[in-house]
Amino acid sequence: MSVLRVFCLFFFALPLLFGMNSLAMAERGGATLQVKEVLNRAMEIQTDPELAGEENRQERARLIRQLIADNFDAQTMAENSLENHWGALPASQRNEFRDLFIVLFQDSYTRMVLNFLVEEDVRYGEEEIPADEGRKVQTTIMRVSEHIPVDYTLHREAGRWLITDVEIDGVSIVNNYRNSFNRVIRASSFSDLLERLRAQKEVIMAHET
Amino acid sequence: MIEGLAAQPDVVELMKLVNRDMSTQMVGELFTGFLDDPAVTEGSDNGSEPPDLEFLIKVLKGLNSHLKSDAHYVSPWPAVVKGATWEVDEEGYFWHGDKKFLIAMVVPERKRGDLTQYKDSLDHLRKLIHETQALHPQVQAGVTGQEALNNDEMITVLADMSRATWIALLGVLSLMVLILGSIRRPAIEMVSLSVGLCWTFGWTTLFIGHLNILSVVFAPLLCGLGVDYGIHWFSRFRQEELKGYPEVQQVIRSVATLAGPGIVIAGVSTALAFLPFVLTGFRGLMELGLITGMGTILLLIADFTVIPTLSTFLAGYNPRKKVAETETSERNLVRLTPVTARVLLGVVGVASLGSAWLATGVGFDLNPLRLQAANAEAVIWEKKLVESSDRSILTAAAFASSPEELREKTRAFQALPTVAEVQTLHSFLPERQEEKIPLVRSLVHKMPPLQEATTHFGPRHVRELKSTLERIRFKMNEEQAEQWGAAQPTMDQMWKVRSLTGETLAMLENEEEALAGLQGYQERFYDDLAETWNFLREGAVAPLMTTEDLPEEVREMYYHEGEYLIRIYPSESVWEEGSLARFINSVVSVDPVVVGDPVSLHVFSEAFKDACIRASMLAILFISVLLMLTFRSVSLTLLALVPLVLGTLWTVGIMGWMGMDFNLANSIFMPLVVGAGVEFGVIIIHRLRDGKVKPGTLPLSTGRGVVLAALTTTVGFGTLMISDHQGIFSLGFVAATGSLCVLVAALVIMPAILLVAHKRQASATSKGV
Repeated sequence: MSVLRVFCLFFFALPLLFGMNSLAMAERGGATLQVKEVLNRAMEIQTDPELAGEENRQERARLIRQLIADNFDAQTMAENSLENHWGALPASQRNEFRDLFIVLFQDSYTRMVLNFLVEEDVRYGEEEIPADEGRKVQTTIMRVSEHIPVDYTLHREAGRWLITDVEIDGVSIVNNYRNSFNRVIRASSFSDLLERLRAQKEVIMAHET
Repeated sequence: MIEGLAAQPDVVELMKLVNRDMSTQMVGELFTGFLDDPAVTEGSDNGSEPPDLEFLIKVLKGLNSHLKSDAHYVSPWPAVVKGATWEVDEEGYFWHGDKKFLIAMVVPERKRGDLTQYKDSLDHLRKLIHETQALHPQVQAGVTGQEALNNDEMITVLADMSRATWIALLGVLSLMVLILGSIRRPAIEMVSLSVGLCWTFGWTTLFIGHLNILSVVFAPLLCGLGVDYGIHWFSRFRQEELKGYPEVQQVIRSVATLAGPGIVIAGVSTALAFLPFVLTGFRGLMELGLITGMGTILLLIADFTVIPTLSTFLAGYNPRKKVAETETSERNLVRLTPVTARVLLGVVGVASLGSAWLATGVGFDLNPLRLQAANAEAVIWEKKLVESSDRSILTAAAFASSPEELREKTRAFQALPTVAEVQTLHSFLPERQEEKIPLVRSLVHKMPPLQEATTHFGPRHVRELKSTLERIRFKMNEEQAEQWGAAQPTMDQMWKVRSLTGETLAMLENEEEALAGLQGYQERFYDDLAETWNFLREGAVAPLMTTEDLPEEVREMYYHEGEYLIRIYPSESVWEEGSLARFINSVVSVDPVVVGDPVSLHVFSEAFKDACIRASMLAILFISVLLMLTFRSVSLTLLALVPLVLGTLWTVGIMGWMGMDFNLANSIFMPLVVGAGVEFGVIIIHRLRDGKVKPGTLPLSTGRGVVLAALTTTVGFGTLMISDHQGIFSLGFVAATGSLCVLVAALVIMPAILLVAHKRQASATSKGV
């Protein structure tokens, strides 16, 4: 190999290496930015004077539900919450379960945001890169003489970061679903679980109307 | 949490575990709560059971007190049990009244043949309590229960009766000296009365051998009633001595001839008023009836032997008084005109109608607790227990001869709404042991051996604790919890935790100072944890508990010679007649052979009431027959009964006006009034039958005797009112009032009736002519 060829290779490769590194940097910050964006938007909805009061709760709930739908990968969460059972399910049951899960999760998370999140001082920590190429964004909600850590797990899909789990003070929402669903399936059956999810969806729908 | 604590048994780790548990519960409730509980949706009520933060509150309080150098440790572990009512130090005792009272059951030793059979035992018990109480002045303690109530009642009554007897004797003597104007003659009467009482005591000792709570009142009663005969004797003596007999024996003979029959009839009538108690079949009343009835006869005998004998030498007879006194011998105590007599009878008619109306409000109060002296210790404590609980401590008892019968009867008693609790030998054993034992045993596997605690805390521990407390505090936002639909008790607990964590965090700011307090709390915490841990582990391997494991005293009490005891606690106070009757009727429907204090109380009070009514009816019947035989005239018999009938009616009317009911003590007033009422009537009729008395008048000598007899009777009965025992007081009040009413009826109404009757007869005769 000639010196020129070596030089050219180095010349062209260097920007590529640098470029790749900067891309990785951008991706690392991207997950945090994504979480920050979601949290800021949620706090904006919660503190918007035009949406304040009990009479606007439904509207706030609608906006937050939409925010969750846009930024959480609830389909993946549904799959993860069933873990070993997922593979054994027929397509029809998977689809029904997924749809039910999405409605229920979005409703629960909406309630949590509506009831607990206000204008918060959120501290963002280091972004971790777990083995599955995803990201874990550490945040802490700070108040006077109190705080709570909330960690978000994200993965990239179709060029954007989507949240697949949230750990509230060390307790994973997906793990909680998994444990609870397992308990019901062990005690009775998957059909029973589906039945309970359907019943809860009915309650949510009735309440919304 | 248990595993985590076993591996690292220190307070910092405990707080982390608590926080972790709270987070898990919070996330679980928020996202999957609907799988366990009623459906929860955005905006709907939270249907799950709220968390109990009592354990955390206790830990924080203990920690704070150590951080403040005010080392006050309270074990948090009892709060782990739901409801936080489990206190190891407080289990295994007989609690009463929402854990306000601790009951110790004591079986007193009985001393037979004594009126207060348990006095020695109770005195000793009270002495021990007072000695112990002196060491713990902040604790109040006392003795109550059926035996203590009986004992206190008897002691109160005996002391009061002793005082009342002396006061009655003194009062009667003073009245006699005052009205008879002599010291010698009342003294003779007192000697006669004392002899009569001595004979009565002797007779009682020989034929009955003891007194009871009813018959113990006989001495003051006889003082009041028995002295009357001597009074009538000396009243007539005073009149006869003015006739100028040369010898005192002639005066005595004249008194015996003229007044004697009336006095004897009066005495026998009084005896007949009491003796019907013998026919009631009620032992307490039978003995009272026998003692007072026979006592009256004995007093009468004493009056007809002691008085004439002593009068021969000591009556102070002076034949020369004749001239000076003759002029006054015809004076009358009562002198009515026909108009006055009619007006009087009209007034009496109105008063009697009013009394009859008021009498309709008088009932029977059979609650014996209300009769007791309010200041008696046993009464004070019994009332406290009754007021503090909806359960009585007096129990009924049933028996079973096999475990199957025991189970069956227990179940049947428990099903009754009138029963609060059923206690048997098996009540002292844990319930459903067969189901619980596997669960308890499984605890051992869930409780690994406790590791050694962290011996020394450093700044790192303080920082970790601060961080954990801040995270706990974040979750204790009661405003947000309210929005979430949390209940008030939960929000109160959250507020407490928030406040306590705030204090703790402030004290943890100075790490150096905080370390000492943290270390101090850790040491106490670990010791307590180790003790609780071992207690649970040891308890988890304990075998099935059987009746053989119970203390012998308890076993003996509930199982003896093949018979199982079933103790039945009433759900309402047994001191109220209605609830007592409901309780007895229901338990008897399960087992007709039920015994115990409530049963005795029910049977006693009902039988007593019936016996008093029956005895009063019999007394009136017997006396009416006696009067018919004596006077051989229906009209005179009816006239002799007038003071009794009107006096009784007015007395009951006054009771109604005073809001007083008949009770277990004053129910025996009727024979007392019967005795007095008939006595006055008989004495007056005997006097009026002399033929020398004008209609509408009552000679002074007879009137004075009746007034004095009535006043002495009133004093005799009235002295009972000095008693602290409410029953004896009410008997004294009713009997004294009755004797005054009878006096007024006898003095005024009898001459008025005779005058009106005489006028009508004269008018009819003149018309006939």
